[in-house]
Amino acid sequence: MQKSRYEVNFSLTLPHLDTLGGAAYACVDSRDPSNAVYAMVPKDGAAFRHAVLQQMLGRSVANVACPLDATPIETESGGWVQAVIVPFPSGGALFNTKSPTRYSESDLRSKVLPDVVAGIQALTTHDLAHRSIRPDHLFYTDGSKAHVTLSECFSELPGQSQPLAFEPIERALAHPAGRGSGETTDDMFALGVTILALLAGAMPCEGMDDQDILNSRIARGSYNTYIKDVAPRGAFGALLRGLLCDDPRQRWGLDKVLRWLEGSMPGDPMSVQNYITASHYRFQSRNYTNRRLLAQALHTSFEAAIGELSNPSFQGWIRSAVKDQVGSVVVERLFDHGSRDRAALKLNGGTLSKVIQLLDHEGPIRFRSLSYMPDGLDGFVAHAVVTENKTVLRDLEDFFRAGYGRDLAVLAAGDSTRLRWIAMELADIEQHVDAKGLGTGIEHVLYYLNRALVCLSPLFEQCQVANVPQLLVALEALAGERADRDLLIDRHIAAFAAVRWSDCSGMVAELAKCENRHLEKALRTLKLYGLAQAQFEVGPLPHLCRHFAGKMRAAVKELHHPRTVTLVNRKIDELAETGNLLKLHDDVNFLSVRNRDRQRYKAAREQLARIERQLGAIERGFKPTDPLAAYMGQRVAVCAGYLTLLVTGLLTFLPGL
Amino acid sequence: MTKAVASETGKGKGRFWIFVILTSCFLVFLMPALLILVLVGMLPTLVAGFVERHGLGRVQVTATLNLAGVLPFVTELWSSGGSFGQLMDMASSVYTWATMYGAAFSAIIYLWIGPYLAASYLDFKAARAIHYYEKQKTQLLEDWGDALTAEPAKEKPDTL
Repeated sequence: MQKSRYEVNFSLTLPHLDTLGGAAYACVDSRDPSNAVYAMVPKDGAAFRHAVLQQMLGRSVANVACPLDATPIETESGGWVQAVIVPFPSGGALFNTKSPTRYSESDLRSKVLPDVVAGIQALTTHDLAHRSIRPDHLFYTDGSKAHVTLSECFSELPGQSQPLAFEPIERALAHPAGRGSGETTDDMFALGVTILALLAGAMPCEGMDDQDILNSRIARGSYNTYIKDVAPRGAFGALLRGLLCDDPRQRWGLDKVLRWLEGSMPGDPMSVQNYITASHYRFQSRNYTNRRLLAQALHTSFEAAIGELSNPSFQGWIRSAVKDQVGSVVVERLFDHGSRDRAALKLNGGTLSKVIQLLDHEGPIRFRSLSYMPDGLDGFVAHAVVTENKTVLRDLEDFFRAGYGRDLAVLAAGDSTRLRWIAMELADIEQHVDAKGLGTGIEHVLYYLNRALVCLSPLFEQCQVANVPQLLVALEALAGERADRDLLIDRHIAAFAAVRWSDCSGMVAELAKCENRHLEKALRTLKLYGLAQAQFEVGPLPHLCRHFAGKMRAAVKELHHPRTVTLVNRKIDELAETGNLLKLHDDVNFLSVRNRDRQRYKAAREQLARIERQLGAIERGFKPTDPLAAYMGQRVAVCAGYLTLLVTGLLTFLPGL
Repeated sequence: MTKAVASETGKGKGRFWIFVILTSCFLVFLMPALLILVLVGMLPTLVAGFVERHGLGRVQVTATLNLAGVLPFVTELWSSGGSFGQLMDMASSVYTWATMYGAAFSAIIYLWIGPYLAASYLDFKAARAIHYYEKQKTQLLEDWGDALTAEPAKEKPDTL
C-alpha cells in the first residue's frame, strides 16, 4: 500500500474531538507541516454519515470543519485503518463542559453567531444539516480566536450524541440513532439552545433526568423549560423565542436569524399548542390531556397498549382527539366503526403504531423497540446492524414484513415532499427484509437505505469500500496480504454488490442458490468479481486471480482423469498470472470440465467392469460339457450327418462320380 | 423358455411321425418289400425318435446316418424290382445289417466328437477375444490410472 501523506500519532489522542463514531488522533501533514490537521479514525461498531463524508470530502464549506482526505493509514501494529483527515481547530473549544465559560450578548452577536450562522448557511447550500451543533462543538479556528468554526459532522449519525435538550422534541423522542438527517430548522433549534448555554455558562437543564426534560418540554414547551428564572430580554429574548419554538413551521429560519444579525427584529412565533385535547384519557393510572405524552406512554408500554385498542372508550377518545381531515379518515379505517364484525378488526402492533403516529403526527415512527424519524431509518438500521442489536433487527423484519413501514412513513410524511419520497422508496425494502438468501435480508435494506455506506463486511475492517471497484481493489490487497485468507462472498459483500451494481443482482441470486456448494459458490464469486472487473475496467488483479486459481487447483484434485488434471492445472497456471478473473473463470470453465470428467469416469468404470466380466467368462476355457459347446457340438454333428447322407446319396445314385 | 422348447420339440416330433406314416402308406401298396426294408433298416431312428425327449438334434443325426446306411440297399432293392426274395437275400447277409445299424451307431460317435470340436473352436475364438479385451483394459488403465481400479469414493459435496 502506498505511504500516506499524513502521519498519524496513535499515542496522542484528542478526546475533545472524539465523537460516537470516531476517535481523534494527532496527525502531521508530511507535505505541509504547517497545515494543522487531525485524524478521525472510525470506531468499531459505530456508524458514520458516509453520504455526508462523500459530499464534503475535499470541499470547502465556510466555518465548518470539512474532511480533507480519507486515506488508509498504517497503525503501529502494522495493520491499516481508514482515517479521515480534518483541519485541526488550534484555537480550542469555545465551551468546556467541565469548566464552562459565560459569553456576553455582545460577544455572541459580534464574534460567535456570524460565523456559526455562516456555517449553517454554507451547509444549507449543499443541502445538508449539521445536526450536532452544541457549545462544545464550536471551535476557534486558530490561536487568534478571531473566527469560530463548527465541528465536523460526518463521524456519527445525525444528532446521535446530542443531549436531549439540543434536539427538537419530535427528534428527541426518537432513538438517538434514528433522529434523522433533519433540516436546517433542526440546526436552528440546536443553535438556540447553544446560545442559551453560552449566555448562561451552563448546559440547559443540567442535572435533570432526560425523561423529565422531555415531559416538561412536551407539557410546557422547550423555551419555558429552559428559561427557568430570568428570561433574556430584548433582542436575545426574541432570538431565543424564535429559535426555541417547538413548531418547526414557526421556528425562526436562517433568513430571520440573518435579519436579526443585521439589526432588524422579526416577529415572535405564535404560541400554539397542537397536542392538548379537550378531554383526558386515563392510561395506566395516569390522566393524559397531551396527545404527545400519551403517544410516548403508549410506546413505552407497547404490548399493554395493544390491549387498549379494543377498548371502545379509547377508540372514542382517539376519534375526538384526532380532528384533522386525514387523521379522521385513518382513524375510521383503523377502527372500522361501520363494520358489523368487530372481531375481524386487526388490532395489533401495526394499528397501535398508527394510532401513536396519529396522536403525535410529527413524532418518530414507533413500533416495539423501533423509534426513528422517517428520515432517520437509514442511520437507525445501520446502527442496529453494526451493534448487532438482535431485538431491533427482529422488530424491523416484523415491521416491514407486515408492510407497516411504508404505511407509517406515508402517515408521518404529512405534506412534506421530501418525506413522501422517502416513504415511496420503502416499497423496495419490504421484498428484501424477510429474505434469507445472499444479497437480500437486512443487509440489503442497510445498503439500500444508506447509499453512501461503506461495505461492512468483516473482511474490510481495515479499509473503506464505498463502491464496486474499491471492493475489488480491497480484495486484491487482502489476497496480497495473506494467500490463505477466505475471500468468498459474504452476506455484506453480496448485498453491497446487489445494491450498488444492480446488473449483478441476478448473479447474486444464483449465488444464493449454491450457498452450501462451496466450489460452485467460489466459481460464481469468481465470475461475479470477473464481470465487475471487466465492467468497471479495474486493472489486473493478480493476487486475487492467484487466490481463486489456488481454490481451483484444490478442486482439480477431485478430477479423475490424469491427463485432464494436467491440462487444467497447466491452464490455471497460465491464467493465474494474467490477473484477469473473468478469463480465468471462462477459459478454465471448471464446472463443465468437472461434469464431463465425472461422466467419462462413470462410463470408463462401467466399460472396465464389462471387460472384466467378459474376461472372467472366457478366460477359464471351454469344455465339451459347457452348454454352449454342447449345443454347438450337436449342431456340428447334425451338419456332419447331413453331409454324410449327401455323400452317400451321391455315391449311390451317381456311382460314376 | 423351457415351455417354448418343449412345444417346438413336440411339433417336430409330430411332423416326423406324420412323415413316417405317410411314407409307410405309400410304400405298403407300391413296394411292400421296400417298406419292410426301410422299416427294419430305420429301426434305430424309430427307437431314437420314440425315446428322445430333448429336441430333434440327436434324432436328426441318427436319422441322417441311419438313412445313409439304408439308402444303398433301398436302391439295390428298387433296381432289382423290389421282390421279397431279393429282400430275403439281403437280410441273410451280415454285411447288410452291419452297414445299416453300424451307420446308425456312428451317430453316437458324431454326437460325442461334436462338442469337443465346438469347445476347441470356442477356445480358439476366446483366445482372440481375450487379446482384444486385455488391450482395451490396458488402454483404459493407461488413460485413467489407478483411479479407475480404486474403490470409488462417494461423490463429495463441493468442498474447497
